[in-house]
Amino acid sequence: MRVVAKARRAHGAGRLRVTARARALRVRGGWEPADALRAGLLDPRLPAAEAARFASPRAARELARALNPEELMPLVRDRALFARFAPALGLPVPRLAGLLGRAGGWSAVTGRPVADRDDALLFVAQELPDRVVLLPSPGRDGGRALRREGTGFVDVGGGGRALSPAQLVDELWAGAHDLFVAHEDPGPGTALRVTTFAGLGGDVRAVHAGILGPGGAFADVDVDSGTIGPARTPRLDGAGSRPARGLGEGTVVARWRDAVAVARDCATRLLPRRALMWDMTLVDGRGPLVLGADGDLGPWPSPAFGDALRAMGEGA
Amino acid sequence: MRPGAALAELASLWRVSGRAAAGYGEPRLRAARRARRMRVEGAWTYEEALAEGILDPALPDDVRRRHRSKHAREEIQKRFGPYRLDALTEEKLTFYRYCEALGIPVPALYGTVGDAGTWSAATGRLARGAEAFARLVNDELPPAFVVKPVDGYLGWSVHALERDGGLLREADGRALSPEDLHAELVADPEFGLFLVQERLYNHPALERLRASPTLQSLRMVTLMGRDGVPRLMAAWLKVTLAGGARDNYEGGTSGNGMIEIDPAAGRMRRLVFPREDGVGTVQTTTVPGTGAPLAGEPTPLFDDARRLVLDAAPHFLPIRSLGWDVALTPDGARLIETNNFWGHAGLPMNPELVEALARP
Repeated sequence: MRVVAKARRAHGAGRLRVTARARALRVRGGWEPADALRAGLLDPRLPAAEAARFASPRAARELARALNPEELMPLVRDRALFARFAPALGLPVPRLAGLLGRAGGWSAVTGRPVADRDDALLFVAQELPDRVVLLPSPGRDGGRALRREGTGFVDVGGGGRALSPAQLVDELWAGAHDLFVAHEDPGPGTALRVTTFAGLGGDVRAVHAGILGPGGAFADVDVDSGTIGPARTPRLDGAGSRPARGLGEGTVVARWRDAVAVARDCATRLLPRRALMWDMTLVDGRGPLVLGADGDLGPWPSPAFGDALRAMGEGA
Repeated sequence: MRPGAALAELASLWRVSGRAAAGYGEPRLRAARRARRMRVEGAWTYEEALAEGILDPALPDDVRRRHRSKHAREEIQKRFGPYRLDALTEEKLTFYRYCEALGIPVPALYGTVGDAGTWSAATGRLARGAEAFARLVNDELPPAFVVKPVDGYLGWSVHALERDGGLLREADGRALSPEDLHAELVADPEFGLFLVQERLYNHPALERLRASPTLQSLRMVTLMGRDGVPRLMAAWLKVTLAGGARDNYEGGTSGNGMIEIDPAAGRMRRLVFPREDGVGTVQTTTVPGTGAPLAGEPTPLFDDARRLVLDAAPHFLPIRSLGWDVALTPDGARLIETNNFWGHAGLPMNPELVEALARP
């Protein structure tokens, strides 16, 4: 009921219409009402046919389950596993500094274990690069970008808060996640999410792409041309998104062909997983870098993504 | 403890103490006291303690204390790295591809087969149905190959196959068509995806110990020091005394045995296998059947195998404690798998391993 009330407030719609839309989406598309609200689908002004094009998280998960054997999912769910695996296979990933966690870690710099808090302090103080990103593993939560300053770090995304190595380790140890991937911060770049699909012939192609911007802004990217579509950004009330600017609508993503080639190459190496969503970054002066792979086909709130998923399902 | 569980525990103690008393020829009460002490002090289940041989009254206490129950062992192993990363070792497609990429010698990967279809590693093609699997077998695979679960354990559902005319012959002699094998695989109640890979054979020197078409692997336990240097802490050779396609000891329930090896010198010490009555183990320093001596004999390819696991261990950090299965083949040592929850049933841990595990 809270979801319906929120949708009514956000979209100025009547209870009956919002409830009917939520119910239709649930029955036909597997949408949880809260997810439908977040995707903006409870707005009755959005034509029902258009709303039906979006893919619910459940539909995406079900398709992923049909295309990716469950036994092979850990690698594309767990960032620490992927961080260990990807460089060995030569996938273009940011330089790994190590793994850091309560139950033990490892320094890619020295090759030694980071076995306890004392080791962790040493690792943080002496072996982390000057600009580093810490990503919880497993999980989809965002990373924590830090910049070395003096003997400690500045939490770039955390309002510039200064942290000593001991404070950083204590904060990591006290959190919900027990393992973190530490890699160099490749610097500002274009954040892309490319979904690949392997056909029965083993041919891998990009079937959807999107670009991400500050504040959660996003836009579809035409996979053939690399042209950026209209941008949207999440509404502050959490009821869908609104039009936005600044992602370069109508322009072509720089080095788009390279990005698609990298995603396809990575996906080929991860066969027989057939459907994967790749987080990538395009940094000036470097080739496309792969930040991670998602075998659950995390949601992307656009009808184009839903169309791509349905096409994958039909081609399966 | 709930009354039902307490009763079951008591019944187990009654059964085990009765078998131990009969097996070792001592009063039941004394056997029961020893079993209870092992339960309390070492978290042994009564059946596990019985099969391990630690209820033997003749066993010196200092040796008994160096045996570890499965529960106690796993609690220790959890302290040697984030065990959640075990997919790097337990999900075998990732494991083999990782090893291949690092140049670690492993069996060649031919593809996968399961509910989701058949995948050929050579062509990248995916296809559905029994015919697709038969095409992979007939068109792409060599005359011998292995099919095993991607997430298997203890050798369950492993098929070691050789082509025989239009059929495939299992290690136990059973013949079946590729289509029949496919039907068995997709109907497997536990495993949904199988690897198809190169079949390895035993080094001729192993035939002297036990002539067997089944691969008999060398188990090597390494611990990674805080200094980043891996050390070989224990080794034993699995011996397929029970026949069949598996060489696992499985706490003495499989009927197979193992030859304890001095990890420093690579020389054999003794063969251990379960007693016929399931009460503890038999230990001998000669090969059953032939009477050939074992003690002090060199283990074939031991140095190659040691180098292989010590080179591989750093690539699996932050997991610091690993039990490797190495195939000793005519072409050299090849890595079959590694486990972060490695077993150590049937043998006491050597003192160096006990000490190292106490200080993670």
